Amino acid sequence: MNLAPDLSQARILMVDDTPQNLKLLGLLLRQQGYRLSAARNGHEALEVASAAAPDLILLDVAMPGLDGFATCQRLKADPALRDVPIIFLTAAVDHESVMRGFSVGAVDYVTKPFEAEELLARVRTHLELRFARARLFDLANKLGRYLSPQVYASIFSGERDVRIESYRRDLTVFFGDIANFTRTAERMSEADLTRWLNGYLDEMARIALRHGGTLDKFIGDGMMVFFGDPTSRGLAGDAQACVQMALDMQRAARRLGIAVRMGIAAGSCTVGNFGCSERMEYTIIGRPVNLAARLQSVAHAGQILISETVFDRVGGALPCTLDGIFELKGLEEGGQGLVGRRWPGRSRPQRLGVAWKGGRAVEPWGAHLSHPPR
Amino acid sequence: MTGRTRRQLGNLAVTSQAVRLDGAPREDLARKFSAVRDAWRESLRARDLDAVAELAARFARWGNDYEDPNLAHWAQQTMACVERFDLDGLDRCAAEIDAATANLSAPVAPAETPP
Repeated sequence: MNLAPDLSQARILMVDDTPQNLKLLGLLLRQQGYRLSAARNGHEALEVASAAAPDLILLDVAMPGLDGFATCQRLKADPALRDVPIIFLTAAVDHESVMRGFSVGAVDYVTKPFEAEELLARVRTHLELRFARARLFDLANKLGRYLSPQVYASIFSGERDVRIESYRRDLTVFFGDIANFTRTAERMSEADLTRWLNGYLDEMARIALRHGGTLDKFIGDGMMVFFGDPTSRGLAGDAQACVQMALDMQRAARRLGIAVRMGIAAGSCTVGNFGCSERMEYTIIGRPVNLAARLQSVAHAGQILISETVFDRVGGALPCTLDGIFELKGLEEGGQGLVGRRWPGRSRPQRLGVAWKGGRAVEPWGAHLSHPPR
Repeated sequence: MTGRTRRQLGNLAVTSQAVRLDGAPREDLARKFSAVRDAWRESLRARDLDAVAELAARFARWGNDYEDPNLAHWAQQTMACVERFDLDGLDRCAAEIDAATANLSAPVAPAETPP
Protein backbone atom coordinates (compact mmCIF):
# COMPACT_ATOMS: atom_id res chain seq x y z
CA MET A 1 0.00 0.00 0.00
CA ASN A 2 1.44 3.36 -1.03
CA LEU A 3 0.80 6.03 1.56
CA ALA A 4 3.47 8.42 0.27
CA PRO A 5 1.73 11.76 -0.16
CA ASP A 6 1.91 13.87 -3.30
CA LEU A 7 3.00 17.30 -2.12
CA SER A 8 2.94 18.93 -5.55
CA GLN A 9 -0.49 20.43 -4.97
CA ALA A 10 0.14 21.48 -1.37
CA ARG A 11 -1.00 24.99 -0.61
CA ILE A 12 0.91 27.07 1.91
CA LEU A 13 -0.33 30.31 3.42
CA MET A 14 2.44 32.73 4.38
CA VAL A 15 1.61 35.43 6.91
CA ASP A 16 4.05 38.25 7.55
CA ASP A 17 3.71 42.03 7.81
CA THR A 18 7.17 42.64 6.34
CA PRO A 19 7.11 42.59 2.50
CA GLN A 20 10.78 41.53 2.29
CA ASN A 21 10.15 38.51 4.52
CA LEU A 22 7.13 37.54 2.45
CA LYS A 23 9.17 37.81 -0.73
CA LEU A 24 12.10 35.80 0.65
CA LEU A 25 9.83 33.08 1.93
CA GLY A 26 7.70 33.10 -1.21
CA LEU A 27 10.69 32.67 -3.52
CA LEU A 28 12.01 29.82 -1.40
CA LEU A 29 8.70 27.95 -1.35
CA ARG A 30 7.90 28.63 -4.99
CA GLN A 31 11.12 26.87 -5.98
CA GLN A 32 9.75 23.76 -4.31
CA GLY A 33 6.60 23.91 -6.43
CA TYR A 34 4.15 24.67 -3.63
CA ARG A 35 1.02 26.67 -4.36
CA LEU A 36 1.09 29.87 -2.35
CA SER A 37 -1.29 32.25 -0.66
CA ALA A 38 -0.17 35.25 1.33
CA ALA A 39 -1.46 37.63 3.99
CA ARG A 40 0.00 40.75 5.64
CA ASN A 41 -1.58 40.56 9.09
CA GLY A 42 -3.64 38.41 11.41
CA HIS A 43 -7.08 39.57 10.29
CA GLU A 44 -6.19 39.13 6.65
CA ALA A 45 -4.76 35.69 7.46
CA LEU A 46 -8.11 34.59 8.91
CA GLU A 47 -9.99 35.71 5.80
CA VAL A 48 -7.48 34.24 3.39
CA ALA A 49 -7.25 30.95 5.31
CA SER A 50 -10.98 30.36 5.18
CA ALA A 51 -11.05 31.12 1.44
CA ALA A 52 -7.84 29.32 0.49
CA ALA A 53 -8.11 26.20 2.72
CA PRO A 54 -4.32 25.89 3.01
CA ASP A 55 -2.50 22.68 3.88
CA LEU A 56 -0.01 24.51 6.08
CA ILE A 57 0.39 28.01 7.50
CA LEU A 58 3.66 29.81 8.14
CA LEU A 59 2.81 32.48 10.67
CA ASP A 60 4.75 35.47 11.93
CA VAL A 61 4.22 36.41 15.59
CA ALA A 62 4.86 40.16 15.86
CA MET A 63 2.28 41.80 13.63
CA PRO A 64 0.17 44.93 14.11
CA GLY A 65 -3.40 44.32 15.27
CA LEU A 66 -3.98 40.64 15.76
CA ASP A 67 -0.62 39.06 16.59
CA GLY A 68 0.46 35.56 15.53
CA PHE A 69 -0.55 33.87 18.80
CA ALA A 70 -4.06 35.32 18.73
CA THR A 71 -4.35 34.50 15.03
CA CYS A 72 -3.30 30.92 15.74
CA GLN A 73 -5.91 30.61 18.48
CA ARG A 74 -8.65 31.91 16.16
CA LEU A 75 -7.60 29.51 13.41
CA LYS A 76 -7.66 26.59 15.84
CA ALA A 77 -11.14 27.57 16.96
CA ASP A 78 -12.44 27.23 13.39
CA PRO A 79 -13.60 23.63 12.80
CA ALA A 80 -12.70 23.89 9.12
CA LEU A 81 -9.15 24.98 9.87
CA ARG A 82 -8.25 23.44 13.20
CA ASP A 83 -6.35 20.55 11.63
CA VAL A 84 -4.18 22.77 9.43
CA PRO A 85 -0.63 22.62 10.81
CA ILE A 86 0.77 26.01 11.80
CA ILE A 87 4.47 26.75 12.01
CA PHE A 88 5.51 29.95 13.74
CA LEU A 89 8.27 31.77 11.91
CA THR A 90 9.44 34.57 14.16
CA ALA A 91 12.28 36.57 15.60
CA ALA A 92 10.98 35.94 19.13
CA VAL A 93 13.49 33.43 20.46
CA ASP A 94 12.78 33.50 24.21
CA HIS A 95 11.63 30.32 25.86
CA GLU A 96 8.33 31.82 26.96
CA SER A 97 7.36 32.74 23.40
CA VAL A 98 8.34 29.32 22.10
CA MET A 99 6.23 27.59 24.74
CA ARG A 100 3.31 29.95 24.12
CA GLY A 101 3.52 29.14 20.42
CA PHE A 102 3.09 25.44 21.12
CA SER A 103 0.42 26.04 23.73
CA VAL A 104 -1.81 27.90 21.24
CA GLY A 105 -1.62 24.95 18.85
CA ALA A 106 1.41 25.36 16.59
CA VAL A 107 3.10 22.17 15.41
CA ASP A 108 6.50 23.82 15.12
CA TYR A 109 8.40 26.99 15.95
CA VAL A 110 11.21 28.29 13.74
CA THR A 111 13.21 31.36 14.66
CA LYS A 112 14.52 34.03 12.29
CA PRO A 113 16.98 34.17 10.73
CA PHE A 114 16.25 30.65 9.57
CA GLU A 115 18.22 28.09 7.59
CA ALA A 116 16.39 27.60 4.29
CA GLU A 117 17.04 23.87 4.16
CA GLU A 118 15.92 23.36 7.72
CA LEU A 119 12.72 25.32 7.19
CA LEU A 120 11.94 23.41 4.00
CA ALA A 121 12.56 20.10 5.79
CA ARG A 122 10.15 21.07 8.56
CA VAL A 123 7.55 22.25 6.06
CA ARG A 124 7.85 19.00 4.13
CA THR A 125 7.60 16.88 7.27
CA HIS A 126 4.45 18.58 8.47
CA LEU A 127 2.86 18.47 5.04
CA GLU A 128 3.64 14.75 4.78
CA LEU A 129 2.10 14.18 8.21
CA ARG A 130 -1.00 16.13 7.25
CA PHE A 131 -1.46 14.28 3.98
CA ALA A 132 -0.75 10.89 5.55
CA ARG A 133 -3.32 11.63 8.22
CA ALA A 134 -5.86 12.74 5.63
CA ARG A 135 -5.17 9.60 3.58
CA LEU A 136 -5.59 7.35 6.60
CA PHE A 137 -8.80 9.13 7.49
CA ASP A 138 -10.07 8.65 3.96
CA LEU A 139 -9.12 4.96 3.98
CA ALA A 140 -10.73 4.48 7.38
CA ASN A 141 -13.91 6.06 6.05
CA LYS A 142 -13.91 3.76 3.04
CA LEU A 143 -13.23 0.68 5.13
CA GLY A 144 -15.82 1.88 7.61
CA ARG A 145 -18.51 1.28 5.00
CA TYR A 146 -17.87 -2.42 5.44
CA LEU A 147 -18.60 -2.16 9.16
CA SER A 148 -21.63 -1.29 11.17
CA PRO A 149 -21.44 2.45 11.91
CA GLN A 150 -21.72 1.76 15.64
CA VAL A 151 -18.88 -0.77 15.53
CA TYR A 152 -16.79 1.59 13.41
CA ALA A 153 -17.37 4.43 15.86
CA SER A 154 -16.55 2.32 18.90
CA ILE A 155 -13.34 0.99 17.33
CA PHE A 156 -12.17 4.44 16.24
CA SER A 157 -13.03 6.06 19.53
CA GLY A 158 -10.93 3.42 21.27
CA GLU A 159 -13.88 2.00 23.23
CA ARG A 160 -13.55 -1.34 21.51
CA ASP A 161 -10.43 -3.25 20.54
CA VAL A 162 -10.23 -5.50 17.51
CA ARG A 163 -9.58 -8.91 19.01
CA ILE A 164 -11.34 -12.23 19.19
CA GLU A 165 -13.76 -11.98 22.07
CA SER A 166 -17.38 -12.60 22.80
CA TYR A 167 -20.01 -11.93 25.42
CA ARG A 168 -23.70 -12.58 26.05
CA ARG A 169 -26.34 -9.93 25.47
CA ASP A 170 -30.11 -9.92 25.37
CA LEU A 171 -30.85 -8.56 21.90
CA THR A 172 -33.71 -7.94 19.51
CA VAL A 173 -32.80 -9.31 16.09
CA PHE A 174 -34.30 -8.29 12.76
CA PHE A 175 -34.12 -9.99 9.37
CA GLY A 176 -35.63 -8.58 6.20
CA ASP A 177 -35.48 -9.50 2.53
CA ILE A 178 -37.22 -8.65 -0.70
CA ALA A 179 -40.02 -10.95 -1.80
CA ASN A 180 -39.53 -12.46 -5.27
CA PHE A 181 -36.14 -10.86 -5.55
CA THR A 182 -34.63 -13.47 -7.86
CA ARG A 183 -37.45 -13.15 -10.38
CA THR A 184 -37.25 -9.35 -10.28
CA ALA A 185 -33.46 -9.39 -10.59
CA GLU A 186 -33.54 -11.63 -13.65
CA ARG A 187 -35.58 -9.04 -15.53
CA MET A 188 -33.08 -6.24 -14.90
CA SER A 189 -29.74 -5.29 -16.40
CA GLU A 190 -26.76 -5.44 -14.03
CA ALA A 191 -26.58 -1.66 -13.83
CA ASP A 192 -30.30 -1.25 -13.15
CA LEU A 193 -30.24 -4.02 -10.58
CA THR A 194 -27.29 -2.47 -8.75
CA ARG A 195 -28.92 0.95 -8.71
CA TRP A 196 -32.30 -0.41 -7.63
CA LEU A 197 -30.93 -2.69 -4.91
CA ASN A 198 -28.51 -0.13 -3.51
CA GLY A 199 -31.26 2.49 -3.46
CA TYR A 200 -33.46 0.14 -1.46
CA LEU A 201 -30.67 -0.96 0.93
CA ASP A 202 -29.56 2.62 1.40
CA GLU A 203 -33.07 3.64 2.43
CA MET A 204 -33.41 0.64 4.76
CA ALA A 205 -30.00 1.30 6.34
CA ARG A 206 -30.92 4.94 6.93
CA ILE A 207 -34.07 3.89 8.74
CA ALA A 208 -32.17 1.29 10.80
CA LEU A 209 -29.60 3.85 11.89
CA ARG A 210 -32.28 6.41 12.66
CA HIS A 211 -33.83 3.95 15.10
CA GLY A 212 -30.46 3.13 16.65
CA GLY A 213 -30.11 -0.36 15.16
CA THR A 214 -26.73 -1.99 14.65
CA LEU A 215 -26.45 -2.92 10.99
CA ASP A 216 -24.94 -6.37 11.16
CA LYS A 217 -24.76 -7.35 7.52
CA PHE A 218 -26.28 -7.28 4.07
CA ILE A 219 -26.90 -10.71 2.62
CA GLY A 220 -27.69 -10.15 -1.05
CA ASP A 221 -31.06 -8.43 -0.95
CA GLY A 222 -31.46 -9.22 2.74
CA MET A 223 -30.27 -7.44 5.81
CA MET A 224 -29.74 -8.21 9.46
CA VAL A 225 -30.04 -5.58 12.16
CA PHE A 226 -30.00 -5.95 15.90
CA PHE A 227 -30.74 -3.77 18.91
CA GLY A 228 -29.09 -3.95 22.33
CA ASP A 229 -25.39 -3.74 21.52
CA PRO A 230 -23.13 -1.71 21.62
CA THR A 231 -25.85 0.46 23.17
CA SER A 232 -29.17 -0.56 24.69
CA ARG A 233 -32.38 1.19 25.68
CA GLY A 234 -33.41 -1.73 27.85
CA LEU A 235 -35.18 -4.90 26.71
CA ALA A 236 -38.53 -3.24 26.07
CA GLY A 237 -36.95 -0.15 24.52
CA ASP A 238 -34.85 -2.22 22.14
CA ALA A 239 -37.81 -4.35 21.07
CA GLN A 240 -40.04 -1.33 20.55
CA ALA A 241 -37.36 0.47 18.54
CA CYS A 242 -36.86 -2.61 16.38
CA VAL A 243 -40.56 -3.10 15.65
CA GLN A 244 -41.00 0.60 14.94
CA MET A 245 -38.03 0.41 12.58
CA ALA A 246 -39.60 -2.54 10.77
CA LEU A 247 -42.90 -0.67 10.40
CA ASP A 248 -41.09 2.36 8.98
CA MET A 249 -39.14 0.11 6.64
CA GLN A 250 -42.35 -1.44 5.34
CA ARG A 251 -43.79 1.98 4.65
CA ALA A 252 -40.60 3.06 2.84
CA ALA A 253 -40.46 -0.19 0.87
CA ARG A 254 -44.07 0.26 -0.24
CA ARG A 255 -43.21 3.74 -1.48
CA LEU A 256 -40.41 2.17 -3.52
CA GLY A 257 -42.82 -0.43 -4.86
CA ILE A 258 -40.97 -3.24 -3.10
CA ALA A 259 -42.54 -5.97 -0.97
CA VAL A 260 -40.38 -7.09 1.93
CA ARG A 261 -40.66 -10.03 4.33
CA MET A 262 -39.51 -9.33 7.87
CA GLY A 263 -38.91 -11.33 11.03
CA ILE A 264 -38.04 -10.18 14.52
CA ALA A 265 -37.03 -12.25 17.54
CA ALA A 266 -35.43 -11.47 20.89
CA GLY A 267 -33.41 -13.23 23.54
CA SER A 268 -29.96 -14.04 24.69
CA CYS A 269 -27.29 -14.01 21.96
CA THR A 270 -23.54 -14.28 21.83
CA VAL A 271 -22.05 -11.07 20.51
CA GLY A 272 -18.47 -11.00 19.37
CA ASN A 273 -15.75 -11.00 16.83
CA PHE A 274 -15.87 -14.34 15.09
CA GLY A 275 -13.29 -15.54 12.63
CA CYS A 276 -9.51 -15.65 12.67
CA SER A 277 -6.95 -13.05 13.61
CA GLU A 278 -6.62 -11.95 9.94
CA ARG A 279 -10.30 -11.73 9.15
CA MET A 280 -12.91 -11.11 11.79
CA GLU A 281 -16.56 -10.36 11.68
CA TYR A 282 -18.42 -8.61 14.44
CA THR A 283 -21.75 -10.41 14.55
CA ILE A 284 -24.16 -12.30 16.75
CA ILE A 285 -25.11 -15.95 17.04
CA GLY A 286 -27.81 -17.70 18.98
CA ARG A 287 -31.36 -19.03 18.95
CA PRO A 288 -33.04 -15.60 18.43
CA VAL A 289 -30.97 -15.11 15.28
CA ASN A 290 -32.21 -18.40 13.86
CA LEU A 291 -35.77 -17.66 14.91
CA ALA A 292 -35.77 -14.17 13.36
CA ALA A 293 -34.41 -15.61 10.11
CA ARG A 294 -37.06 -18.33 10.16
CA LEU A 295 -39.85 -15.85 10.84
CA GLN A 296 -38.68 -13.72 7.98
CA SER A 297 -38.55 -16.70 5.65
CA VAL A 298 -42.17 -17.66 6.31
CA ALA A 299 -43.62 -14.15 6.37
CA HIS A 300 -45.77 -12.95 3.52
CA ALA A 301 -44.58 -10.17 1.26
CA GLY A 302 -45.12 -6.96 3.20
CA GLN A 303 -45.58 -8.80 6.52
CA ILE A 304 -43.65 -8.48 9.77
CA LEU A 305 -43.61 -11.53 12.00
CA ILE A 306 -42.39 -11.10 15.56
CA SER A 307 -41.65 -13.69 18.21
CA GLU A 308 -43.66 -14.05 21.36
CA THR A 309 -40.80 -12.54 23.38
CA VAL A 310 -40.80 -9.46 21.21
CA PHE A 311 -44.57 -9.31 21.45
CA ASP A 312 -44.37 -9.35 25.23
CA ARG A 313 -41.65 -6.71 25.33
CA VAL A 314 -43.40 -4.38 22.93
CA GLY A 315 -46.57 -4.63 25.02
CA GLY A 316 -49.05 -1.93 24.16
CA ALA A 317 -46.39 0.56 23.20
CA LEU A 318 -47.12 0.41 19.50
CA PRO A 319 -50.40 1.49 17.93
CA CYS A 320 -51.42 -1.85 16.50
CA THR A 321 -53.91 -4.53 17.37
CA LEU A 322 -53.84 -8.26 17.04
CA ASP A 323 -54.85 -9.46 13.60
CA GLY A 324 -54.58 -13.21 13.70
CA ILE A 325 -52.98 -16.31 15.06
CA PHE A 326 -51.73 -19.35 13.22
CA GLU A 327 -49.51 -22.32 13.60
CA LEU A 328 -45.90 -22.18 12.55
CA LYS A 329 -44.35 -25.59 12.18
CA GLY A 330 -40.75 -26.55 11.90
CA LEU A 331 -39.31 -24.11 14.38
CA GLU A 332 -36.70 -25.45 16.72
CA GLU A 333 -38.63 -24.38 19.75
CA GLY A 334 -41.72 -26.20 18.49
CA GLY A 335 -45.33 -25.61 19.36
CA GLN A 336 -45.26 -22.03 18.19
CA GLY A 337 -47.86 -20.03 16.43
CA LEU A 338 -48.09 -16.71 14.71
CA VAL A 339 -50.30 -13.80 15.35
CA GLY A 340 -50.96 -10.93 13.00
CA ARG A 341 -51.83 -7.48 14.24
CA ARG A 342 -53.81 -4.75 12.55
CA TRP A 343 -53.11 -1.04 12.51
CA PRO A 344 -56.16 0.89 13.69
CA GLY A 345 -57.70 3.26 11.19
CA ARG A 346 -56.12 1.58 8.16
CA SER A 347 -58.16 0.12 5.38
CA ARG A 348 -55.54 -2.55 4.72
CA PRO A 349 -54.12 -4.42 7.66
CA GLN A 350 -50.51 -3.81 8.62
CA ARG A 351 -49.42 -7.39 8.85
CA LEU A 352 -47.54 -7.71 12.07
CA GLY A 353 -47.34 -11.28 13.28
CA VAL A 354 -46.32 -12.79 16.59
CA ALA A 355 -44.81 -16.21 17.13
CA TRP A 356 -45.88 -17.72 20.40
CA LYS A 357 -45.34 -20.87 22.31
CA GLY A 358 -48.31 -23.15 22.82
CA GLY A 359 -50.21 -22.52 25.98
CA ARG A 360 -49.63 -18.77 26.13
CA ALA A 361 -52.83 -16.79 26.04
CA VAL A 362 -53.18 -14.03 23.50
CA GLU A 363 -56.95 -13.47 23.87
CA PRO A 364 -56.63 -9.86 25.05
CA TRP A 365 -55.95 -8.99 21.44
CA GLY A 366 -58.67 -11.19 20.01
CA ALA A 367 -56.64 -13.77 18.19
CA HIS A 368 -57.90 -15.26 14.99
CA LEU A 369 -56.29 -16.86 12.00
CA SER A 370 -56.08 -14.40 9.16
CA HIS A 371 -52.67 -14.54 7.54
CA PRO A 372 -51.31 -18.05 7.83
CA PRO A 373 -47.62 -18.38 7.17
CA ARG A 374 -46.44 -19.82 3.93
CA MET B 1 -4.45 55.79 -27.45
CA THR B 2 -6.10 54.26 -24.42
CA GLY B 3 -8.68 51.53 -24.62
CA ARG B 4 -11.34 53.93 -23.42
CA THR B 5 -10.54 56.52 -26.07
CA ARG B 6 -10.53 53.82 -28.65
CA ARG B 7 -13.93 52.66 -27.47
CA GLN B 8 -15.22 56.24 -27.56
CA LEU B 9 -14.12 56.50 -31.17
CA GLY B 10 -16.01 53.29 -31.70
CA ASN B 11 -16.59 52.43 -35.31
CA LEU B 12 -14.81 55.47 -36.62
CA ALA B 13 -11.50 53.80 -35.86
CA VAL B 14 -8.96 53.09 -38.56
CA THR B 15 -9.73 50.67 -41.35
CA SER B 16 -7.66 47.91 -39.80
CA GLN B 17 -10.17 47.92 -36.93
CA ALA B 18 -12.99 47.14 -39.31
CA VAL B 19 -13.59 43.96 -37.40
CA ARG B 20 -14.72 46.16 -34.48
CA LEU B 21 -17.39 47.90 -36.49
CA ASP B 22 -20.26 45.84 -35.15
CA GLY B 23 -18.98 46.09 -31.60
CA ALA B 24 -18.65 42.32 -31.34
CA PRO B 25 -15.08 42.22 -29.99
CA ARG B 26 -16.10 44.32 -26.99
CA GLU B 27 -19.06 42.04 -26.39
CA ASP B 28 -16.80 39.05 -26.73
CA LEU B 29 -14.43 40.48 -24.15
CA ALA B 30 -17.32 41.21 -21.82
CA ARG B 31 -18.60 37.66 -22.23
CA LYS B 32 -15.18 36.17 -21.62
CA PHE B 33 -14.50 38.30 -18.59
CA SER B 34 -17.92 37.61 -17.16
CA ALA B 35 -17.20 33.88 -17.45
CA VAL B 36 -14.10 34.13 -15.25
CA ARG B 37 -15.19 36.99 -12.98
CA ASP B 38 -16.07 34.70 -10.06
CA ALA B 39 -12.82 32.77 -10.35
CA TRP B 40 -10.89 36.05 -10.44
CA ARG B 41 -12.58 37.37 -7.31
CA GLU B 42 -12.20 34.06 -5.52
CA SER B 43 -8.51 33.90 -6.37
CA LEU B 44 -8.05 37.40 -4.92
CA ARG B 45 -10.05 36.55 -1.81
CA ALA B 46 -7.89 33.47 -1.23
CA ARG B 47 -4.78 35.42 -2.20
CA ASP B 48 -4.11 32.43 -4.41
CA LEU B 49 -1.04 33.83 -6.13
CA ASP B 50 -0.80 31.10 -8.75
CA ALA B 51 -4.43 31.46 -9.77
CA VAL B 52 -4.16 35.27 -9.76
CA ALA B 53 -1.12 35.06 -12.04
CA GLU B 54 -2.82 32.59 -14.39
CA LEU B 55 -5.90 34.77 -14.72
CA ALA B 56 -3.86 37.93 -15.09
CA ALA B 57 -1.93 36.31 -17.94
CA ARG B 58 -5.25 35.55 -19.59
CA PHE B 59 -6.43 39.15 -19.12
CA ALA B 60 -3.19 40.43 -20.61
CA ARG B 61 -3.80 38.27 -23.68
CA TRP B 62 -7.36 39.49 -24.00
CA GLY B 63 -6.23 43.09 -23.52
CA ASN B 64 -3.94 42.64 -26.49
CA ASP B 65 -6.41 40.67 -28.60
CA TYR B 66 -9.22 43.15 -28.09
CA GLU B 67 -6.97 46.21 -28.13
CA ASP B 68 -7.69 47.24 -24.58
CA PRO B 69 -4.22 48.41 -23.49
CA ASN B 70 -5.56 49.50 -20.13
CA LEU B 71 -6.57 45.96 -19.26
CA ALA B 72 -3.38 44.55 -20.77
CA HIS B 73 -1.23 46.97 -18.77
CA TRP B 74 -2.81 46.26 -15.39
CA ALA B 75 -2.88 42.56 -16.04
CA GLN B 76 0.86 42.65 -16.69
CA GLN B 77 1.38 44.73 -13.56
CA THR B 78 -0.60 42.14 -11.61
CA MET B 79 1.69 39.38 -12.83
CA ALA B 80 4.71 41.43 -11.82
CA CYS B 81 3.27 41.96 -8.33
CA VAL B 82 2.70 38.22 -7.94
CA GLU B 83 6.28 37.60 -9.02
CA ARG B 84 7.50 40.00 -6.30
CA PHE B 85 4.98 38.85 -3.66
CA ASP B 86 3.91 42.48 -3.50
CA LEU B 87 0.45 42.32 -1.91
CA ASP B 88 -0.03 46.10 -1.72
CA GLY B 89 0.74 46.37 -5.41
CA LEU B 90 -1.57 43.44 -6.11
CA ASP B 91 -4.45 45.25 -4.39
CA ARG B 92 -3.89 48.34 -6.55
CA CYS B 93 -3.72 46.31 -9.75
CA ALA B 94 -6.86 44.39 -8.85
CA ALA B 95 -8.71 47.67 -8.31
CA GLU B 96 -7.52 48.93 -11.70
CA ILE B 97 -8.59 45.73 -13.43
CA ASP B 98 -11.97 45.98 -11.75
CA ALA B 99 -12.28 49.54 -13.04
CA ALA B 100 -11.08 48.59 -16.51
CA THR B 101 -13.60 45.79 -16.76
CA ALA B 102 -16.47 47.40 -14.87
CA ASN B 103 -18.17 48.75 -17.98
CA LEU B 104 -17.62 45.63 -20.05
CA SER B 105 -20.99 44.28 -19.07
CA ALA B 106 -22.71 47.57 -20.02
CA PRO B 107 -24.72 47.44 -23.24
CA VAL B 108 -22.70 48.26 -26.31
CA ALA B 109 -23.77 51.35 -28.20
CA PRO B 110 -25.15 50.71 -31.69
CA ALA B 111 -22.54 50.94 -34.39
CA GLU B 112 -22.35 54.16 -36.35
CA THR B 113 -22.22 53.89 -40.09
CA PRO B 114 -19.03 55.43 -41.45
CA PRO B 115 -19.57 58.19 -44.01
